[in-house]
Order: sequence, then C-alpha cells, then structure tokens
Amino acid sequence: MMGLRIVKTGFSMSLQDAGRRGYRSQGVPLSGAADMDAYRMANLLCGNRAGVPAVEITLHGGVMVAELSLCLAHVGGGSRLHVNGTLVPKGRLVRVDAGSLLSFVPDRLGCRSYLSVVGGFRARMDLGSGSTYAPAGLGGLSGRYLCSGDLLEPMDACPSASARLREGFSEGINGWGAARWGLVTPVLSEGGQYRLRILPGPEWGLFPASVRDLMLGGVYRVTKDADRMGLRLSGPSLAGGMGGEMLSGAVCPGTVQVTQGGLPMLLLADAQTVGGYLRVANVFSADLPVCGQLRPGDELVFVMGGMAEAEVAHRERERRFRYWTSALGLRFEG
Amino acid sequence: MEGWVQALGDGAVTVSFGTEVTEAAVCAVDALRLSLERWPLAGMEELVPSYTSLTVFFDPDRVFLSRGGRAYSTASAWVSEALRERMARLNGEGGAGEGPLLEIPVCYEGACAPDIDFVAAHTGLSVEEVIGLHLGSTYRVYLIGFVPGFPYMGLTDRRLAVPRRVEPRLRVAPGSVGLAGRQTGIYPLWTPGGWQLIGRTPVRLLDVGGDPVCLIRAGMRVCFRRIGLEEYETLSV
Repeated sequence: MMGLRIVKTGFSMSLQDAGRRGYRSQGVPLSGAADMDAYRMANLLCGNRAGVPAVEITLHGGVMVAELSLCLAHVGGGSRLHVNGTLVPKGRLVRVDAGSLLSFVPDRLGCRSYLSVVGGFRARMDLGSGSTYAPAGLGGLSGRYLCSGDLLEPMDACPSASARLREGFSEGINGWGAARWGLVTPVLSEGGQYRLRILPGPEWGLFPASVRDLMLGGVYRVTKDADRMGLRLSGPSLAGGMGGEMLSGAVCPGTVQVTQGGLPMLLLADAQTVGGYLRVANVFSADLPVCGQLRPGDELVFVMGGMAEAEVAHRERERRFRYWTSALGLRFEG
Repeated sequence: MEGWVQALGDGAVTVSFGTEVTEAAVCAVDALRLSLERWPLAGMEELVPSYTSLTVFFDPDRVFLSRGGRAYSTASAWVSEALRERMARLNGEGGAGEGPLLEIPVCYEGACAPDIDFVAAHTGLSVEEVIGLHLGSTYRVYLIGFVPGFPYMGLTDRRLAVPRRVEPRLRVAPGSVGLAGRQTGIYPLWTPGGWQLIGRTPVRLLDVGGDPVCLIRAGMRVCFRRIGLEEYETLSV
C-alpha cells in the first residue's frame, strides 16, 4: 500500500466529505468539511466527482511524505503548503514526485485548509459518508482523527486525469510542478474583522430589544474554546435577565446559541442535533464556510439580514460552483 | 393543537407546539412527523423531532424548482406555508401517540448501578422501590439527541425525580441507564455524562452497520425488564 504517509498531524487533521445526511433524527450530526467552499474547490481542482473525502487540516504543523507521485490541490486558510521546502500556490492542481516532503506552515489568516488528491482519499463509509465524527467513531480512518504513521490512500491508484493533465504542469522544480490554471481563493477578512450575516433564530423574539442591539452593535472574539462542534465567543453579554435554557429543540451548523453566562456560541459542522440553549440567530448558509475559518482571537460582527437575501446568497454561491465545475471540467478533457 | 412555524436559518423551519411537555403537544409532533414521513414536502431532506417541536430541513434549490409557478417570496416561506396547510388538514386527527413498544432488559445491580444508592438517598426511597418505580412505567421516547442514539424518555414517576450529577462523569459506559429530572435515558456509546446511573442494559442501541442504525426512535414507547448480573453477562457476550 502506498499513498500519503502522515509524519506529524500538527494541530489536527481528519478526513471529511460533504457530510452525513439523513440521520439527524437519530442524533447523528451532519459533520463534513467545516469550510464546505474550500473543500469543494480542492475537489474541483482535482477533477473529482462531488463529495469524495479530502483531508481537513486545522491550522499548521502537519508533515506528510508522498510515497508515490500524486496530483493534489490545497485550498483554505490556517496553513500554507511547502513541498520539499518551497511554497506551493493555493488553488492550483499540483503534481508532486514520489518521495516529496509536504509541510504545512503557518498562514496569517484562517483556520482550516483542505488537501485533495485526484480520485479522492479512501475513507471508511459509515451511514453513507466518509466524514470523521470522532465521538461516535464514524467515518474517516477507523472513525478517528488522523495520527502520525497513518497512510492516506488515493481511491484511484493510477489516476487517468493526471496523465491527461501532465503537459499542463509547469516545469518541475524541487520535485513538484503546478498547473498553469487554478481558482482564485476568496480573501478571508477585510480590515481584520469577519462579518457574518444572520437571520433571527426561533428565540430571537424572547430577547429584549436592548440585548438584540448589543448583539448587532458589538464586536465578538473567538475564544480558545473552539473545535468542530462550535466556537464560544466573548463580547457583549446577551444574558439580559433571560433564563438561558429551554426545552431542547433542533440546532444545526450556523445556529448561534446563548449559553447560561449570556455569551454566544456559534455551532459548526459537528454540532449536536438538538440543544437546550436559546437560539438567538442563524448564520446565512452562504456564510457558513467563513465560520469554518474562524480561529481563536479572530474578531467578528453580526449583521442582520433577511430571508430573501439569504436565499439569493445561497443561490449565487451554488451558481458559482456550477460555473467552476463546467469550466474546470474542460481542463480534464483535453 | 396550533403549531407555530419559525425559520431555523435558510435551510430549516421549526414547528413548535408550546413550551410545556403536554400529551397534546407530544401527540401533535408525532402526528405531523408521521404525516411528513408518509407524504414528504417537495425538497424536504430530514426531520428532527423534539419534545414539543418538529424541525424540517429542506434543500432550498429543490423547493425553488418545485414551486411550479406558485408565488412565494422565498423557499422558506413556501415550506412554512405548506406546513401550515398540512397541520390544518391534520387538525382533529390525533392519530399518533401509540408508537411501537420496545422492552429493554436492565440489570440494576453492582457495578451496573453506580448511582442507585444516591438516588435512593435523595428520594428517600429504598433501592428496591427505586427499581420498582423505574420498572413500573412505560416511557415515551421524546427525541434522540445529545449523541447518536441517545433516547430522552419520560416521564418517570414523580417520586423518582433527581438532579443531574454535580460533576459529570468523563466516561460513561454504553448501555448505562440514567435518570435526570423526570427523564430516563440510555447511553449508546462511551461518552461523558451527567445522568444518575441506576442500571445497565446489554442491548446494543447503536449499530452503525445495521438497519435501523438506532434501535430506539422518537415516537416509540419503551418499558424495562429486570435482569440479574448473570443474565446481563450472558446477554452481553
């Protein structure tokens, strides 16, 4: 067996895909890539069909060895990819020679990046998805986060797509070459502050106007209490005399809960399916990928939007991906 | 019973039937769930039932495509309106309530019941009375949550009401049967947990390769059967 051998995982790494659908009534979270846009872009660059597993790399510090020649793509924040000591551009298809050393060095912005190979990585499919959900041991490699020594195998051992693309790569230096085309990856934050558009949550109306104004006028900071389940934020307290708890009801990635102390918690991909805290708001689904890029210390503001605006944002995002899919698809036919 | 429809982001709407766990509210959730499982709305993806609410997740693109000329401002508004129409049609049909009954064997002895002495002391009952009261009711499964396959069931006898542990355990074993407030639940997998553990079942609640994945589903009814340590060991193998 040959593939990408993990030498060091750095902060953390796991295999993720488009998520596990259809089991939320049984308490099984959606999971999947926390930044679905970056994940989808990495797969598109590799010419993969939608939904194949990729490695989600949180922050930096990871090191891997390519035991065979591979074509891969790296998209997202939190780290930059060095192959044999030189920086590889993000958002490009890259051919890497056998024996190359891949290291993920710090990036200024963002939290999570995605590494995809042509054909996608092999993952255990549980309940229709290869996404790792460690608390229940689902998906990924044996249902857990990746460890040093793990071997990541491409599903397609002899990727025909890479053969067809070979002449499209720049001259190899340091054991790698990049395709001359790619995707321009989005700028993560303007002016150092993230802007999350929200819709009123089911319990929005239970908060007094003064408290709602605090939420919309305040600047929140991501605390160290941040993982794939959610991010605890610090900033203006939303307690305002509220009880803070209710009969449990459904929550989902993007739900902003207000915990007992009055501080908001923004739920991410591995969010549990039901929760007992007041749901003050939900982030636009089009802004969820940005949430996956928030790291401790980042500042953000909430901006109230409307449902029509949220749905337009969602449709525009999907239209962009449809356009990219057909545009990049052409690269794989030549 | 009147349901209140609200958006949960741009991919889901929640119908809530009040904030009290009444028979009428629980039945209304069940009836709407059963109806939507049988006749799904266009673009509907999945349902998440809870005590007094039902959340409908949908794909806005599929809803948009299916509207067929009907004018609604957004996919969310269309789903909300379709749910109101569905509830109006269901009105009067309580229908649900009697979900399938499942019997779960439980051992209330020794290491299987680390908190049973605390529960007895807190409630002023004897250990035998605690067991008797837990066995004495049939419970409704309100929802599955917290972790995959964890059933929230109730209501337990008023005399069995207990608070959660002050210090939650870091690791609770699969099959552990717990009490919290007037609810009882079963841990399906190794997880941290704060419920008072009074027994353990050898039955596997979560089977990722199985069909169904979870033995217990929302809307079911559950009763417990007492087994000894020996039978527990035999069934565990």
